[in-house]
Amino acid sequence: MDDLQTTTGLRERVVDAMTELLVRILRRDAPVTESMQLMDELGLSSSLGLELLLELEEELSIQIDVEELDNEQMHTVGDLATYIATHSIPQ
Amino acid sequence: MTALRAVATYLPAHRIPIEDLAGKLDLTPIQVKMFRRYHGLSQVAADPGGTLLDLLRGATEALSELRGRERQVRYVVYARAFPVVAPYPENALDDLCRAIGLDHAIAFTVTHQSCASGLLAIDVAGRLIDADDTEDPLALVLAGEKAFTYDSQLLPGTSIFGEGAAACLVGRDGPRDRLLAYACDVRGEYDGELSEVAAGFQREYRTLLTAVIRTALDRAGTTIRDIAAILPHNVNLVSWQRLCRALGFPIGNVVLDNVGTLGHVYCADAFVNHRTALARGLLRPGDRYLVVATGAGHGATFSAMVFEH
Repeated sequence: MDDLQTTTGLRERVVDAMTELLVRILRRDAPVTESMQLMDELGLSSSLGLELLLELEEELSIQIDVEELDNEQMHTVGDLATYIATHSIPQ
Repeated sequence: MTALRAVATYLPAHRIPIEDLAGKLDLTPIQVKMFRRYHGLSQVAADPGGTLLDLLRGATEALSELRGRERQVRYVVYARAFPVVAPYPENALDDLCRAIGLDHAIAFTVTHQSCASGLLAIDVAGRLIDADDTEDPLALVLAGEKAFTYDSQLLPGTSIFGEGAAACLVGRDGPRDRLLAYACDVRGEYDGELSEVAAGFQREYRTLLTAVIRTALDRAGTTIRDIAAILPHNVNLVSWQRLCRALGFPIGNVVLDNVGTLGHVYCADAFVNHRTALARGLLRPGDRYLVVATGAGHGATFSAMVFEH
């Protein structure tokens, strides 16, 4: 239960940070929401996706394991947040 | 049949840490970190005081098997990622041929498949000597460029180019490195500067490259399970990690040694990694291996060759 709560808490923090970071990285005027598709809807490229992960690591003081990260885990902002919450450790 | 009779490379000793290139290439600190952490790139090879001719000459001088066989060389095929690499009327290829006693050979450049032009050059060389009626005709394939413009130094978000050169003697047959199959997929729809075009290329990259690899394997009558090693293009580590997952191929058998220390040496990657694979003892007689390249720029080309060592 503790692990689940920790993961859930981290996921919420990742979503909050990611939606703000995406507005800045993608220079968007409109806000980003959890259900938005990263590539098809927001136009996030692979390289910007990697930059996003590094920015998140710095902001949340975590280290993300990208070994298993694939496009399948990156459909929406929420999908990526779930991956990060379950594949990261505190820095 | 086409065979690589000998492969030689020239890699200048100078190295530039990518942090030192950040200003020149407009890289932000986070982009430098991305290149180091995910792309596995720490430095690139460079020959600051040297010319393009110096690079190419370095490679042909290292190709000892060329000595005494100059008259057999009927064709010199220079593989380049960029159509123009020197101001008119300079022509490093002509200068090189004159300097090393190959001015009798038909010399030309293949380009327009960007960094996949190296594999195209091997294919073209093999076809030409196959149709040649002289005794044991040879072709000299060259690769290597000077990274002196912004576009020739950086693939934004993907890779940083390094300087080096390769020279490869191609024959109709040979005891090693016989070409079993070649597959090439030219995708004109990725010709354009728009971000949607780049996004489409990135989205389809793995699918298209995997498909061309499988086509080459099918044509060679083999499967990925029989492949001892992959000689990659040195684009970056993360793309190869993902491609290996899609292929079901062990990443440890991809010769990625040079990605971090040399950079993406244009069309010469395949030959540089061939030398590394031999030096590491990765290829034993009879082993089958893949050479894989992608050309991105004006359009995209996905290429794969299967060889038997």
